[in-house]
Amino acid sequence: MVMRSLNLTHFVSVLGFWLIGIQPLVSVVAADDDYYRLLSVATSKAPTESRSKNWKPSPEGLPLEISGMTFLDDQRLAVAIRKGEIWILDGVYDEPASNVTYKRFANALHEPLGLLQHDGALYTAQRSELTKIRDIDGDDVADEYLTAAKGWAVTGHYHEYAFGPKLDADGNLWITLNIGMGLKGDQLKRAVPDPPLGYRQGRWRGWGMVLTPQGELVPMCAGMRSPAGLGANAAGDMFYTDQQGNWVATNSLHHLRPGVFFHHAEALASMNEPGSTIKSVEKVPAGVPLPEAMMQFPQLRPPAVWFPYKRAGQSPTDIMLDTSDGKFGPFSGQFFVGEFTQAGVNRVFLEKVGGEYQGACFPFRSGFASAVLRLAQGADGSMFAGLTNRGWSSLGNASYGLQRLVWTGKTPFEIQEMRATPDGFDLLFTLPVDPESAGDPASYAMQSHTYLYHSAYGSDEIQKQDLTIRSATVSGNGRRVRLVIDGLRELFVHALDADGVRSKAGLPLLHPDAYYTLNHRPE
Amino acid sequence: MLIPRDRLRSRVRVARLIVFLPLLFISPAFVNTCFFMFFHLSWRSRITFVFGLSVSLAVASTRGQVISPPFVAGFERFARHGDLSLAEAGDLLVSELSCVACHESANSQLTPKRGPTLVGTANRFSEKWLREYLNDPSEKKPGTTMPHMLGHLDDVQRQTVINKLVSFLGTQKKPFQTVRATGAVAVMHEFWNQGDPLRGRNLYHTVGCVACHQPDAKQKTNQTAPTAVDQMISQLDTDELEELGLLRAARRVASVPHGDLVGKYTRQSLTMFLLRPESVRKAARMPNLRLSPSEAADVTAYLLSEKGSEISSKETVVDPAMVSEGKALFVELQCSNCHDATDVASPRMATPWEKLNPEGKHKCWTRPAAAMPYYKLDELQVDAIKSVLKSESMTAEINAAQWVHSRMLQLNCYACHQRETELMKDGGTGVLGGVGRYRKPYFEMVQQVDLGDEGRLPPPLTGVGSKLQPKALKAVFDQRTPAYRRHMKARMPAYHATAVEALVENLPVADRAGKKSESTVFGNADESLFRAGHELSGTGCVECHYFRGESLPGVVGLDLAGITTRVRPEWFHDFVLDPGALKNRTRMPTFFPDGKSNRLDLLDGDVDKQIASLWFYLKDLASQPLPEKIEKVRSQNYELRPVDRPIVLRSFMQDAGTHAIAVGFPEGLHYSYDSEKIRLASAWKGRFIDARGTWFERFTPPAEPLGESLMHFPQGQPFATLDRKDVRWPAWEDQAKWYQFRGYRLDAQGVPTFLYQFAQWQIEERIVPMGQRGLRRQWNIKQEGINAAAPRDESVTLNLCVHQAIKLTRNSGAQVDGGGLQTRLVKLPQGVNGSGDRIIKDERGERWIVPVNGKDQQTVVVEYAW
Repeated sequence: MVMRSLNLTHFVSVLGFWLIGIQPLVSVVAADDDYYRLLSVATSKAPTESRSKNWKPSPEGLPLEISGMTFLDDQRLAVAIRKGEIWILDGVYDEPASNVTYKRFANALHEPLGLLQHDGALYTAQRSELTKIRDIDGDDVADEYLTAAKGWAVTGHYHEYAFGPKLDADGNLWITLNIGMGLKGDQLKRAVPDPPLGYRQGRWRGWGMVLTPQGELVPMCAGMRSPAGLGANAAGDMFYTDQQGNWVATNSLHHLRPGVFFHHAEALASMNEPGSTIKSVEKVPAGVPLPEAMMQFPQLRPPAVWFPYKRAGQSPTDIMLDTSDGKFGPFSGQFFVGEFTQAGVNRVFLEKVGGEYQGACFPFRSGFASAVLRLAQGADGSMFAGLTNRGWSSLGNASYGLQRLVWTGKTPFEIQEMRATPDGFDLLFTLPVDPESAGDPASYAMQSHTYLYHSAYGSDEIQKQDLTIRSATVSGNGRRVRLVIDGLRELFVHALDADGVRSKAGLPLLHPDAYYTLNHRPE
Repeated sequence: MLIPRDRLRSRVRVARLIVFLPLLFISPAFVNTCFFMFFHLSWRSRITFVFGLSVSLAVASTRGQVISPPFVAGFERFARHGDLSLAEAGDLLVSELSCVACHESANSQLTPKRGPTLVGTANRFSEKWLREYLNDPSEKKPGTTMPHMLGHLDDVQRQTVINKLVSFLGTQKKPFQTVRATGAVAVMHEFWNQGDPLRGRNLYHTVGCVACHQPDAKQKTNQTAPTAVDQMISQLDTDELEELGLLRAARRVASVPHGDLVGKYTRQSLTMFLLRPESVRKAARMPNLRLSPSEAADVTAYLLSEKGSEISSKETVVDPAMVSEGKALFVELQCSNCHDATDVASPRMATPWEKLNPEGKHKCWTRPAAAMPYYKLDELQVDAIKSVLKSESMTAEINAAQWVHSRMLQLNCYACHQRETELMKDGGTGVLGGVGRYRKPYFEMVQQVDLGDEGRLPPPLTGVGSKLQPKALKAVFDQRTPAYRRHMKARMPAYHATAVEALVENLPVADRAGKKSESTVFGNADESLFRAGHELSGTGCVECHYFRGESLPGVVGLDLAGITTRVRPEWFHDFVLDPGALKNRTRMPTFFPDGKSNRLDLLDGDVDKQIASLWFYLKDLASQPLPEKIEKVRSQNYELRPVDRPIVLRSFMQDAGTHAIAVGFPEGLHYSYDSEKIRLASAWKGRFIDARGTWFERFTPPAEPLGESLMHFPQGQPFATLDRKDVRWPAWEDQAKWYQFRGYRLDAQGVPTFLYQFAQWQIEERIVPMGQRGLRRQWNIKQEGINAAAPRDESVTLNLCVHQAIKLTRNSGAQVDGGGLQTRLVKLPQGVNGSGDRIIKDERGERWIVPVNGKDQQTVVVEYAW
């Protein structure tokens, strides 16, 4: 039979015969599109590879490598681009977005990596300072570039990016500062002299800082590696995302608060600087599992969410709070986190347990045209994604640009919330479940793991354990399932696979995987 | 949607069966031949041909037996058409059918291809497929080179043996290698399930898969105009083609069959195979197409149009007795001669090759009575193998050219590459290989630029051994070597070093590569050669080539950076002198018509020296200036050229540090300002600055001033408070805490005014050109409130450092020169009447400082000229 069809195919294609019209090419249309449509406002492909030393933008159009986004009003979107300019875009909501206008508002910024409209001005973090930019004479072109804050070291190492700002509930503007990597030559002259523990980094590298409403720049917390994303939740508490690498086991989301240490030990170079909130760390544990490291190093706090590597992205970026109140689907109040390498967006649900934030991440959407660096929510609830993959690389067929994700109004079958309970997890689904599959413990699987805390690049998932699902109980309204699970471990990531669950209408979950970081078990 | 589509498909299948039932017994190669002949015959011959075809079909259908001889690409393409001698064809079959895996031979040319490793079979193939395949390999996979190993058994016996073998193979588990994700390689969770069939289809048809495998006739290609030769071929009949020696070029090339991929593979196993074929098939007949993980998933999604097989990850109950019997059979049936498996005994060898009798009783190509392989060879294949068996000269040494030819046949390099080869059958030479006229449309350029076949087809390999340096030749096959012909969509596959050893060693010998060193060919480099090479490269080379990543707009071609580590000096010389002589129909023109240079002004018009100058210039390209035309284009894109208004650039700079602000003026005077240490750092004239590194380079190189007359300004902060008796200017480190940079404001003309605070003074500083002579620098100083820092002591005053140099000379009361700079106080601060200023000394040299009345609003203006 097989030989026959082969000969046939062969024969047919040789002739270009009419029958070939029905070659069985089943195009697997991404079901994602049924729920969230991905539209392009502008995307371009550079003629060079993303990591090329001779990188060049497309010869046509603006090099729209978006590194910051803020809506000026219901229509106009301001974007920062990596070459150091701010542009004001109008017409981005059009479908198709074929008449977008671009107006340059500001230039001469050194790799700005954030943009915020605040206090009648645009704020952006450049490599060397936080800048407040205003148009004084009313021609829509900036003429005032005021230094809102500076004072962190810039040794000249490329990796010393500065991100932000974003505004918290207390009116603080947060910025996060990348760690440098292997400083050399003149860079070392700009490092903290005679640093504690011998770590060679510039002042405040690897720290989160705030500019207070009083105009003071204050160091708050430390241990960041590459904090490319910032974002406040509905309560106005500020979070940041970090990227896997040295000291950072895998990608993570952290609640920013004073005196907390996250991972990267070299940030301790600034421990003795005036204003430091981290004191008297004498020894940094290395090569031990994280739960143990935290006992040896009390300032070290776990992230609210770990993103298991590859399974929930490879390099998280911006944090967008869905404030659309349902206009962007069923996830209002949750975080969406940009994903650089895999050109996508993940979703995060947070709850407070034992006074601290923890929660779960879920894959949400892939297939963007390039690396997602920035996210912003439009007035209609749609998500705008600023793209650029230069310097690293990403999936997708473009190098940079702007895309928009619009909810179709159709609710995807997803795990909407995942809450910890004393003996398991409580799942809230976006749609009523099929009681039979959802009530069957065999429809679920769970495995827990933690990571090593060490100076090496990333960590394997260690101390893996398969857990037994004791029971799965569907609640009255059919949207909640209570899982009772044996062997939960605090400070471990609990990976849930709910592949067997079906909705009442018989649909499988769009994303059956969820990863809960169980720092505390509720009492 | 799904249901109707399925129904439709099954209806189509039925229709196909009815229409083509008689053709079901024909092998792909036969079909090819038929159609080739059909279209190239005269009308009368066509009628005869159709008649003959019907007869043979009738015969075939009465025989009721499937004819599916093993498909060996080189054999189908060349041996069937008489391009190979029978002995060459036989040698090829012997290696590809792995004869000497059982019949040992010392002849390394016959090295058996062997089959894929079966370690990990349990994760890779569906059990159902495995059973069907073992039942009769060539029925399940027409064209397979695996012989039927159970041909001697009846149906019942065969099922028992298959059960045992499958039980054993079920123990051959090996987890798939983890694919490491990095910043450069995106690896989605279960990436093998994330493929996009449309992207996969495009990859399949462009990266090189269809050089060997069947393209889909529906695939749209960028219709590139056929070459003149191809056009001619399409208009000629067979006789004419033969006369013109074009038969070979006109021929349709049969495709390597895929078999039942859907029934065989899971998405994961096919993706992992496409990603690293060499991990399963060490003989590299299927090469590594350098797919990224997501690309491999895309191609899988295309090839497994349906979902592919499922392999249950659940442990099944294994009968240990069956497994151990299966393991014994695996050796007994000589499976292990061709397939690796874990934990099996050493293979059972058969009669050594040299002792085989082609006319003996037992043959591997007739249905055996006892356990032995059964290859369903056709007549030509049998003849070819017999000719090797009979050959006296079998163990005779073969020369390098024959080695190359033989290896290229085995690896099917000819699928893509042409090469002029000695044809043993008639002693002449001929060009074999190339993608063939029917496959050419699938070979595209990245951009649509007409560079002819040279720009889109894999290069011909005639003479390649005398072209490439040994290291470069070896590197071609290495997976880590980046693509060289970036303008092509097709990729040169990667091969493990052992697979291509014979080619790397023999190509230079076969092509009589010269051994002349660089200095023998070109002499020694000197400055005049660099200069001439720079000049010459700018007149012709730049029109088609890249120079270390830079090019003229629209240019699509090879980058000449690294060329001197790639090609041999002699080849470079000969090729540049007369490209057409080394490469037929190349687009590269000669710049030395009749061997003469038209640049008599350079190096006395000496052609050899001029070529040498190109070589040495390119060799040193990393530190040589780019050809002028390219430099000009580059500067148009990235050089900041203030025309109407000043231009500001923030960057890293050598002088101004990591908080540098460079300001360029239309007058052609520019400066850099250090906004960390709050000082004018440097100034220059002429061209302003190149912004490319700042805008687009990840590693943030410092921006360099482009112009001339670069002036470095004094170290140290502009203001300090001094006791009248103080003779030292305080160090910046001690003063930094009193300084706060506050940004800048642009005026209506776009000129920045820097804003900063020193202790209780708010200071505005504005620097503008003063014609072409230099800069005019103005400070407005204002005390705001009383700061704790304020010096209360009346003897402590605010001072401005106007100039600093090793040695200062007072020219007049208001002008002090030093360090190449003339400094003039134009507007004096209040309270200074020509006597309050003074020159103080420290280890850095001398400073001209001026006391400033810190209480009232002040304006001070200084002019710098150099």
